[in-house]
Amino acid sequence: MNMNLYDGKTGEIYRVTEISSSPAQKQRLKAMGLKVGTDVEILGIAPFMGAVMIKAGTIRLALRSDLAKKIVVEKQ
Amino acid sequence: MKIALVGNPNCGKTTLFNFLTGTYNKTGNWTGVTVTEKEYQYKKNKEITVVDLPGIYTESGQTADETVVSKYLTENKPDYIINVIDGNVYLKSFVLTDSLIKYKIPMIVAVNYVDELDGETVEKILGVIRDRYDVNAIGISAKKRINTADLIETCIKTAKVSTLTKTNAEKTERATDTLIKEDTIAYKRQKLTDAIDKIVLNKYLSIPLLFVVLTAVYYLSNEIGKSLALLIGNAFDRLNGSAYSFLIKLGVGKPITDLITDAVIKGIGTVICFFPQVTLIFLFLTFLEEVGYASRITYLLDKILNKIGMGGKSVLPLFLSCGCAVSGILSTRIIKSEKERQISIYLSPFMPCGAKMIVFGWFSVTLFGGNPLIATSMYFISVFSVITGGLILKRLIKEKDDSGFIIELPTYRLPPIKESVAEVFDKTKDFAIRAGSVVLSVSVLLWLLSNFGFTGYVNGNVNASFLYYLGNGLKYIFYPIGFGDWKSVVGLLSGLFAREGIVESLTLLSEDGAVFESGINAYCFMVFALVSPPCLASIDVARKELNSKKKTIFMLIFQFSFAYSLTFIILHGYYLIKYKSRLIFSVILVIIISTLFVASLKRNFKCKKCSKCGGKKKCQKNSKANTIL
Repeated sequence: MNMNLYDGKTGEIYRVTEISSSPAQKQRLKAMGLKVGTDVEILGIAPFMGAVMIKAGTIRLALRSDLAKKIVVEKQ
Repeated sequence: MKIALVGNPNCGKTTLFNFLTGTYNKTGNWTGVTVTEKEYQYKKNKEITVVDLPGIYTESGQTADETVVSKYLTENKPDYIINVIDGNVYLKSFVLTDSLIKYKIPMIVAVNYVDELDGETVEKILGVIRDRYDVNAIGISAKKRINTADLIETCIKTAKVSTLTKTNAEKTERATDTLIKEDTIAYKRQKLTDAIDKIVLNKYLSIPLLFVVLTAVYYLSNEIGKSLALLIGNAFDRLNGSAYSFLIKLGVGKPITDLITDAVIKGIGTVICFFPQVTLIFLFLTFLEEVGYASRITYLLDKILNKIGMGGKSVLPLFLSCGCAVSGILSTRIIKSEKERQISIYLSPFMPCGAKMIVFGWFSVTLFGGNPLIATSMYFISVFSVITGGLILKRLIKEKDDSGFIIELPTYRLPPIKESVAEVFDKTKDFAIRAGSVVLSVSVLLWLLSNFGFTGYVNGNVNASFLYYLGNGLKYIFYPIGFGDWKSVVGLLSGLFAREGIVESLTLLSEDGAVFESGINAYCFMVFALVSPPCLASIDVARKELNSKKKTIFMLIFQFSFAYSLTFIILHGYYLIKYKSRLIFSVILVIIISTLFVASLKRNFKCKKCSKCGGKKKCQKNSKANTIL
């Protein structure tokens, strides 16, 4: 089932299947360890529907909701 | 011979650099912020220069830091590169290492923080790197001094140009993938970080905890700072007294004696009084940064601050500006988005900095009988100004904004104490030089203006001084906002040089502080002093950070007109309540201002080009229609 990263549940693990952001953002994400095929665990969402905190491998990242919505994931 | 250190932010590069060069002579930048390269001699061999480059994730030239690195590597061609990698998150640093290859500079890879990993993992990581890049890889710990003593020698001996081939890359990518899956990376620290985050970033606890942390930092630095400042101030008063009698005894003329005691010694004293507070603020902030909590603040507050045109990281400049707008504006360097950075620079001076609090304290004691509400209300006005200013600027500034928001939340770590203390010391020194030179020259200039007039030395008769004419010329501008007296104008002018100068010149000009007609006029003066363009030191820093004359002028106009309008509204709002007679005038004014404000807010929501939706707030066809038409 395809969904975007922002709709994921805290504590669940998802695999990235598509990133539909700008090339610059894509490159930045890759540099931070997030690319198609990466497994990410959702650690939580910041107050007031803010950024989503994820863990990819041993790297913890926070992504703003608009960017997280551009990342398509499937549940593992 | 030049050896460059390259690595991700937070990889411990600067700690290593400080160890290798034996200096703590850092510029006044914040952790993770090395905006230009820093070059120092290697402590064991002066022929070798070690270069510390900004921490970056890629070198695509997207941010200021990335540009500095790629420019340095292309133009200065260092002889060797030491690529520093954080062993805990080594995988993501491959993106940077990959891109270093094209420079064809001999390099070695130093895997930092090996003290946090077990030996077996370290060997595996080193193996992966050697396989992938065909260069030497060494496990080090900059903090615990493991393998750091002869790192430079090893580098010179073993460094070579890396040859990353596609097969190598694919093979190692598979190897690293299995490494992760096998859970072999030291999870001890990871688990600890997870556990702390569960509490610190908890849905319900996070914001109260953040509030506690910020309050504690602010309260501690302020209270301890203030009492120490008092001691220093008293000492300087005594010094001033004895210097005066000493100089008079020596037969030095009164003008010169006055200049030395009133301007020079007093000016130096003012700066030194700031030391304790500034040092403490720097200390706490360095601690928050090093521990890893600072990025969590960003994560927590991003959503709220984004609504007023800023990012989560803007909390740092805003917060720092409570100490001093100079350091606040400097800290905007960590903000990647140009728009958010600009807005943070424009709004930071709205915060009540230490100097402004001195002014407000003096006002509430001398003019308002120590009423605590007066000084406290300034905090509310400043928060209100930041929010309103942010809403306006968000719509005014058309800067393309594509950085997105991706931040790394680092593993929690105890800060390296020696380096942190050294860093705090250097930041304070930097502040002292910056603020010191400005305050000192201002107090001398002000003294000259108030002691000399068209007739020469005026000997205490301020009414004949240049200052009197200057104040009289400018007072009409401020008449509509409640303080059209030449003395208060002079007060504002000296506040432009340094806020605490307001107190100095107002006491100098009127023995009893009776510059203002009534309380409300004094209050308006305080509000204006709070949000009007900041002191020259801050303006100067802002100019450097904005790197544009146009933007600096825009900032000054924005801050001046904002302060003017706000003070106008407060004064006439007060009159409206107190004297109903001015009712009509005030009502018309409020209507005009609120219409302008609402219009400026609404402008962006309306879809002007698409006629189908009638300019609704949420027009689905908005973007499409705009491109077609």
